Amino acid sequence: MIDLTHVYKTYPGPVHALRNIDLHIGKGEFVFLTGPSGAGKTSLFKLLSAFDRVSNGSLKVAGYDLTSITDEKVAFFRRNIGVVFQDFRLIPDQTVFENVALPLQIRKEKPSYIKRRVDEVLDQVGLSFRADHFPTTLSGGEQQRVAIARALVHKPGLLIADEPTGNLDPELSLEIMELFKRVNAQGTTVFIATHDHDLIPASSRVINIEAGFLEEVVR
Amino acid sequence: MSVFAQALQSWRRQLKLQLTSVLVMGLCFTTILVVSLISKNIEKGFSSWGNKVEMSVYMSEESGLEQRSKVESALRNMKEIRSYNFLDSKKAQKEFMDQFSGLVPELKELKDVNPFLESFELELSEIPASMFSVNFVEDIAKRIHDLDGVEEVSYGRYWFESYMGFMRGLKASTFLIAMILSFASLMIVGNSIRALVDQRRKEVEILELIGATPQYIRVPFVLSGAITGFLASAFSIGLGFLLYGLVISKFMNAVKILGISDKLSFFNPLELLAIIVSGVLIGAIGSYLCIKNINNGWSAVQTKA
Repeated sequence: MIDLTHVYKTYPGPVHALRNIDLHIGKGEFVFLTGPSGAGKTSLFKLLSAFDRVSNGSLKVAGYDLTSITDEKVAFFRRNIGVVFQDFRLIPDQTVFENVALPLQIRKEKPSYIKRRVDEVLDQVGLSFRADHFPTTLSGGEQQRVAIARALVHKPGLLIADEPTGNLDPELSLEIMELFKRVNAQGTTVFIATHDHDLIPASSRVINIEAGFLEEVVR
Repeated sequence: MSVFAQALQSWRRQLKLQLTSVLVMGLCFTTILVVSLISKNIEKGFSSWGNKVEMSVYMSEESGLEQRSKVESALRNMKEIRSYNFLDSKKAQKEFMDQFSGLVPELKELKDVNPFLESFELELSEIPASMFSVNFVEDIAKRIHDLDGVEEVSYGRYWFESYMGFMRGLKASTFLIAMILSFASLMIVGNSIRALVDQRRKEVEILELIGATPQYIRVPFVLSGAITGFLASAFSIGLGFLLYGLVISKFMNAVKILGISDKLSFFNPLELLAIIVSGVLIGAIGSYLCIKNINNGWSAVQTKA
């Protein structure tokens, strides 16, 4: 599902965010990415979600070669994945329902299916009662759950989440993790960045990143 | 939800910003409209003076009744001539004496001498603005001059040339002012649209990141721009009409004295339609150009997180 070979990401400066990254994540895996702030977690997730381009190396995600993807194809690649951004990235003048429905509208799904699916996923994240509210009226935790609902609504093959529980209390964080596990059990590959080691199940695969270098954590 | 409904919804949700844009764009359009209206009416007003060209056709001393009849018949058949009036030499002398003998009493002693030639006083038909030129009038004068028995054709050439020069200058200066104001207005309109689209940059980024195609993102923006352009042009027509009515009522007496009251007019329906269409196009094209700059598939990379 995810293949990185000798990937580098360098920002003007130059700032070397990622150095010689090699990583393979198979279909259906549940993988955690850990590391201190500024280690390169967000940079890596930006590359995986075609949020940014690699400086060097080879990057393949969900069957798409992101190192050479054209501007026309990038939209179709993004439809195959679900991304939870650290800063939620919700459209402020659209209701919770409309924000969550966006990925389905983009795919031109039928309104009846959109209604049913959005209601279902809002129920999963416990926000059915907020469907008609605007994001600015929600708490940080609720906004995060809306972002998660939007990332799941189109049943993506790969779910990437950057600190998805960063704004949630421990109880809700565990609930969200359970939700991710259920999604993973349905066959979706899940790759989550987190600071919170308590949320990582003992049997999970964990990758650590520090100063732009990646290493597999043996547990 | 249809694309148009999406555009309308997005327009309503950014009501304050959109209304501000309508106001700014509307005022700019009004400036252009007012300049065009002034230019159009000044031209029409002055043209109505100049288009009433009068000519005097003097017959030669040797010309007889037959030649006079032929000239009269030729004048009657010329479509450029609205009316003519024959003035024989005695009548011409009498008119001259009536006007000037009071000022120069010595003229009465010359009553047995008649230096006046028989003449036709012509008034030309109203000349279409597109054909109105010195050459056009000169050509008519030459055709009449070539008729047998015609001694001279006079039409105040010097006055006419000065008038045409004045009209050319007037046209050029109103065109220049209109161009400068239009350019400045379009720059303001462009900035207003850019500000509007910039406000929605985040929305474009989000739509891109969840897989929206450029077409999906751009069409509602362009429609929204077209709605803004439509409202701005409609606003400018309304405001322009109010100002026009106000100016006309304020200066009606002066307008009547100048004899151009029936020549002044607001824009005709076709021109109004052109203004509306231009407004819609400016709004839509402006939005498209702005959104195209942002929505290139990688807008999030261009923005610092």
